[in-house]
Amino acid sequence: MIPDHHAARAAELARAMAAAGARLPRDWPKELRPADPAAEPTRNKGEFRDG
Amino acid sequence: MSAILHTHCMQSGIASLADALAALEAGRITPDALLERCLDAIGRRNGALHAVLHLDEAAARQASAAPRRGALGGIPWGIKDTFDVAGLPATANSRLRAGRIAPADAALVSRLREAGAVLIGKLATWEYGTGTGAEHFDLPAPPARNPWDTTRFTGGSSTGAGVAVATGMALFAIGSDTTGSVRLPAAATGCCGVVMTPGRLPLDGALPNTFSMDRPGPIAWTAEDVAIVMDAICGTRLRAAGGAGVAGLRIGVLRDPGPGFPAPDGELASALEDGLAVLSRLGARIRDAALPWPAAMCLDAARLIGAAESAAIHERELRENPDVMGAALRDKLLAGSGVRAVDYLAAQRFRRAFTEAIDAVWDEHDVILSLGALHLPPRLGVEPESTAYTSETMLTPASLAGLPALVQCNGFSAGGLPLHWHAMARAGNETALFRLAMAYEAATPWRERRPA
Repeated sequence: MIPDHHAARAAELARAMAAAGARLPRDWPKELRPADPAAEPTRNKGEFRDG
Repeated sequence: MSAILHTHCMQSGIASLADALAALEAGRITPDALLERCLDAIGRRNGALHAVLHLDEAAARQASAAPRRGALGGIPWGIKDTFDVAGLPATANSRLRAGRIAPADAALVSRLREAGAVLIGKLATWEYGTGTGAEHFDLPAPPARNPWDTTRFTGGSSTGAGVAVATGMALFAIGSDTTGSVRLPAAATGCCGVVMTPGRLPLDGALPNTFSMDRPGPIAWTAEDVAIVMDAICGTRLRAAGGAGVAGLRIGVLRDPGPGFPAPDGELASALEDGLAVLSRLGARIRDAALPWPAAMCLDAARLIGAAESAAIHERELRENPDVMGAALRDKLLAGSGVRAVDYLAAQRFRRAFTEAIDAVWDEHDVILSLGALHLPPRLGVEPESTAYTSETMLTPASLAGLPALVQCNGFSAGGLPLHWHAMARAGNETALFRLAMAYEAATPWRERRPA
């Protein structure tokens, strides 16, 4: 999908992204599912405290 | 360049939105006259600062001439150009959207109209409200400039919001924040910027940057002003609750940015210590705090999630018009297109673990206080200063975990640039943030300075 004349830059940026990914922990338990806190507001234990 | 003066608004006793509301309610000023002050500031300053992208003077005059109504009746405000306002250009500072006129108001615009606020127009933004931190001077509008030093960056991506508020062009502004795009501009321009718990403010009618981390956010001159705006449109009572003071408030302090980040600027670090002494005198209980994982790791995860989701949202533009967009947006989307699925999922798994682990922090602390940016606002367009400024921050833990967070000015550097700190709290507990920020600003003189 990436035009040829941007391919070199795309490859350079993809390497940077892969490096960021490699710095993240990988030893999660297999049942730890990816999550989206924004889409799961009830998962966070916070309560609204509006005074 | 960084001289500091009192504005004519301050000389007349109207330095903040709260002052303006009090003056309006007492009949000491009319909405027309208040709007005139903002239009005058835009006329004098916007040619050099480029904060207002599309001025809607006629509609603003019409709105301010109407009978005053609502909690924000007669208060002039501006909004980032990534939000739709019916009948106004909605270009997100992109040639890809040149000539686009919004068909309807974003939900947040509707709420603020109902509250009586007077919209002055659309404010500057990085293209599509995103970027890499780099400034390439290749967008339709020139970049906004920092009013404290016009050679310096304003913070992004809501580049016009802080500038407009600091200079009195508007009494508050709405931006959007994925990994700091409201909080960083507030830090760079000496304002207060807030992201609320996800879901508090609607995103309908805003150009999305990511699926899962975007949040609208207000910027105003004081924390009290932000509380007034949120109370008007969120149904909160933050102004009253924030006035309770900090006695007994449990503040956890993060002094060390942790592995992967440099030591912070010395003046920012000193201002943090000075501010802690003020909070301690006011009765706050201050202890050291720690994050479950370093902020630099949160940045890695947020970068992967943000870039990949942006690329998914804007895939068609990248495929069809990569040479029409500016270099920063293109680089961001190219980077996102190259994120491996396993890395995206590693980032999301880290996000879940971090979000769950930080819940335990709130058993000991009501607020985590740290710096936001680790550097002073950099010279505009000078890399790697600008990319370091936007990436080496303590802002992304709150972005990843969906926590409310606030940036507040806590002094000025020897060169006259605003200093700041960053506070975050458990989801739903905005009250703790406003207790801290309102008590601090009432006890310190920093709101008396404005950029010349």
